[in-house]
Amino acid sequence: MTTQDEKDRLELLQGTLDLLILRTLILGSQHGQGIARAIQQTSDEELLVEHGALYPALQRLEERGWISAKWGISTNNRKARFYSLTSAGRKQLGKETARWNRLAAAIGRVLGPQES
Amino acid sequence: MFRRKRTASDFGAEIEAHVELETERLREQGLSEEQARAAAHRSFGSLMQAEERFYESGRWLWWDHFWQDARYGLRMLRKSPGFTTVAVLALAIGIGANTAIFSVLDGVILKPLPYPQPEQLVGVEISPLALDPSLRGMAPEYLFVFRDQSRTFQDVGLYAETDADRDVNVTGLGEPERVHALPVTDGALSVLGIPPMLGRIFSRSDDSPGAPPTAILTYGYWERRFGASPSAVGRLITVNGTARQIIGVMPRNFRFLDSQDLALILPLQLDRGKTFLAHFGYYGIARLKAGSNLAQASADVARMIPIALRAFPPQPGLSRDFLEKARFAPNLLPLKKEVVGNVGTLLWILMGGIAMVLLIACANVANLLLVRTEGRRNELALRAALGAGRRRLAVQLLLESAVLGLLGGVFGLAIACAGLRFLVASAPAGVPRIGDIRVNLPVLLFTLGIALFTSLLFGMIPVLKHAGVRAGLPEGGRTLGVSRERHRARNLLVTAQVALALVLLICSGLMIRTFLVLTRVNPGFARPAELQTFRISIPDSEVPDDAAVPRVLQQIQDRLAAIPGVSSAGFSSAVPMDGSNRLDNVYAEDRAYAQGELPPLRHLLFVSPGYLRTLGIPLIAGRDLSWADTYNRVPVALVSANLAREYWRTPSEAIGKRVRISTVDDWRQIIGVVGDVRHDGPDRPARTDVYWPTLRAQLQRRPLRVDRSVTFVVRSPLAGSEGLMSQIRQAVWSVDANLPLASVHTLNYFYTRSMARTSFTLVMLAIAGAMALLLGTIGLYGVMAYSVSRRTREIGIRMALGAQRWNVMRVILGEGVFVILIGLAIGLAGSLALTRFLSSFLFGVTATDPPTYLGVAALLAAVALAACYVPARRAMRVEPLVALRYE
Repeated sequence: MTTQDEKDRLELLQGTLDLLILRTLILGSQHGQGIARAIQQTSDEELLVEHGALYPALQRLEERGWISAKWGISTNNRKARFYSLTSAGRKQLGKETARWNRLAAAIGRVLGPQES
Repeated sequence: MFRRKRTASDFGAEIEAHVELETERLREQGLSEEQARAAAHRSFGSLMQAEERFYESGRWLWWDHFWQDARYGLRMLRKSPGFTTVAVLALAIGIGANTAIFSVLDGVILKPLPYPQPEQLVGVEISPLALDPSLRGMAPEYLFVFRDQSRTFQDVGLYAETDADRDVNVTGLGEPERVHALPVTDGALSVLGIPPMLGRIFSRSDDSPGAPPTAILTYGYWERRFGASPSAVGRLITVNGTARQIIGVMPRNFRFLDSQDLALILPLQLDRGKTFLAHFGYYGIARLKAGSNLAQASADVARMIPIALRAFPPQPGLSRDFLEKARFAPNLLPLKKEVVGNVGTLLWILMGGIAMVLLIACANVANLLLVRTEGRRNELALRAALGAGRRRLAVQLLLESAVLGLLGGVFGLAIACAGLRFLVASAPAGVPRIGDIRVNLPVLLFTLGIALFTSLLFGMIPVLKHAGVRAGLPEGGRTLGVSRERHRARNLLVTAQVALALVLLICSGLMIRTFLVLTRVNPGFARPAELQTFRISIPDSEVPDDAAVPRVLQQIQDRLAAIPGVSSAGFSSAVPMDGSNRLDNVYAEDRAYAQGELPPLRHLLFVSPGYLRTLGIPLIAGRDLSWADTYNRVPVALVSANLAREYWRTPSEAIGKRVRISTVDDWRQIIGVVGDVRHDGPDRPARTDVYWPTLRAQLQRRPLRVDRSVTFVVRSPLAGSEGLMSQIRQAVWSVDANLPLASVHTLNYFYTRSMARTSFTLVMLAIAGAMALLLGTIGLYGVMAYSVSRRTREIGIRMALGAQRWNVMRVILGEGVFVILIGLAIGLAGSLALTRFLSSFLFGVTATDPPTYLGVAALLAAVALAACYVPARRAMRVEPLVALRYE
């Protein structure tokens, strides 16, 4: 992975980061770096998580009570802050996903059938 | 709320952990340690920014902003000293005046009496409903019955009033001295619940007849005469020639109700075996049992009144039937109400008036702030553009206002302290608990409260107008047009100021009218400033024989009349407006009274020949008393003209008719009818008076009686001067060198004192009115001048386009006149609604007196117009070319 690659990646739409974080955490608790990596991997390296934006987003979600955090030890024995989904977060994820799907479908209809 | 959820260092640790994890991952992908670390950092974006964003979301932020804004506010205020001075001064005056009046209100009305469980204390009096329900008093028979049979009182006691006539001579402690003494029965002190500092207070045995004479000292007297020596208890003190043992000293903070300068407390010894009914002239005080209330106590007293009437014999000349007809009923009041009386209305009115002044001051400051904020639009817009949120800007503007308000509060407190001294000194005599007035914690809290409240009040207006300012600088910063909306805010404030000022000015106008009417009322006597009065008491030890007392008094009167410049002299049991009251039922011989029917109460005065002439009370029919009438005990009397007309149609027909006081008295022939005197003050109707000789036989159920305490009056142009008083003293002492002169005043003193409530209210409302007028005028002028200065360019264009100077002036003036007229209309309506609270203070004018309303409105309109005229004239003189070049 080079800097060159990163230019082609999709920038995250504002607000979608929250959704992706919640979606990632449904698989189990994870620390910030892990979340960023998971998003990149599951999107086949298409989505770039700006690490600087990640932590304020985590902070925001934590304040809203959708995720909770505690310090733990990572798989390679490093101290890290692990985030996990709360039940409110689970509900929120459902709502956000439905909204995203509606939005994506609507945008798809506006853009029309694809050329290729 | 005051702790952040997460510390910044915790956040930092998390970021660090992230960078470590990322570095490790990259290294695993084959990068070198340095490359991996650099890439990890890069992918993070700006670390600083992330931390800052975290910080922004912290809970402590508002506190940091708060300090930042407060400091910024202070800096801005320091940068415009002129604005700050004017605003702080206006607020300081408003807040200071409010604090001063509130201190009085707190000290006199709100603060509880300084006794334990003061709510249990009641004043216990009896009123004769059939004679005069406004009379209140207590008599010994009730004390005895209440002590034995009350179900609601813990204890009850009697005390006598401490007037000058009850002052006592203390001898044997160096110089002889005349001091205030309070006679009390057992109970009167103990119910208050204040233990003595030394020794003991009176017990039931001290107030029994024949008990060894005792006395209690107040702290002040103990300190002054005994050098605060604990050995004072047990010593003897000679009071009016009787040696009394000192049994106790009261603590420093002890005060008996509202008594001032009390030196001694003496046992009031009432003899149960010699008690006759209805010897009123005392006051009752009791402490309720826990769980009893005033209504229950009243019912209890009502139950015991008939018991008392059956348990004791009536005074000679009074029948039991008469006493039952008088319909005695309980008249109980919470002790605080008894002490405070009716001064509450006055203080609440003043509080209201002064609060209006504060509102006007607030409007002024709000206007200043609006103008200032207008000038700072660029600054505010810049800050909004730099990321300050709407709330942040609002908080900052409010903080600036709060700083102003608090500064105003601090200076206001200083003004209040100075003003209080003036208030306490000029308060009408009889304002109770005046010694309790001070700036204390509730007063400080009040000041802080109104300082913050007013800040919010005047601070909200610019916030509502300006905090929503858009991010983005106003075009070019030109000031061509001031938005109409913002102008409306200022006009509204000025309208409110005019309205409030009008209300206050009308109130003071009504008081001025009242005062003028009062001074024009004929009080019934002439030129009170020329009348010197003083009181003399002739003790038994000086002249043992009652019948000889008038001879001594006549000698004094003759010596006084012989002083050069003195036109006449006389004496009486009381002089007009001195607050005295001696009432009794007076029978007329030619009236038929049904069995047990009571004639109306009349006021009794016992006077010397020449007294009426000295006061200038005109003789309308018949003749004055003579010394021969007095010494020969001729049964004669004089009546006031209103009494003569009530019974005998004309004064001359009253001559020769006969009157008496009790059914066992001799009838007394009316030899003269004199003019009515407004004895209770010019605002009260003249009483019906009966004048009797100072020595009288067979009157008021007594074989022979004389007044030993009398007030002398001396008419001289030098009245009130020390020169005359020293001549008077010599004249008195040439007859008897052992007679002290007490209560030395001119009659004018009593006359002005009787109007003191009116003049005090007048002065206070006039001060409030003047402040309102001044602040209101400044406010109006400021708004007009500002409006003209903002419109200079517009006016220049209008003139360049051919507008006439007079037209320009008319437009500008018209704007002011509109505001004034609306303000006046609201003010008039407000006055109509509010002045009725003042009606108990008015005399000779109604609360809706049209001349006052119109006159004051015209005055205010004229002043307001003048305030508009100056800026309008400036507008008229605008030179078009200068104006266009102006910006």
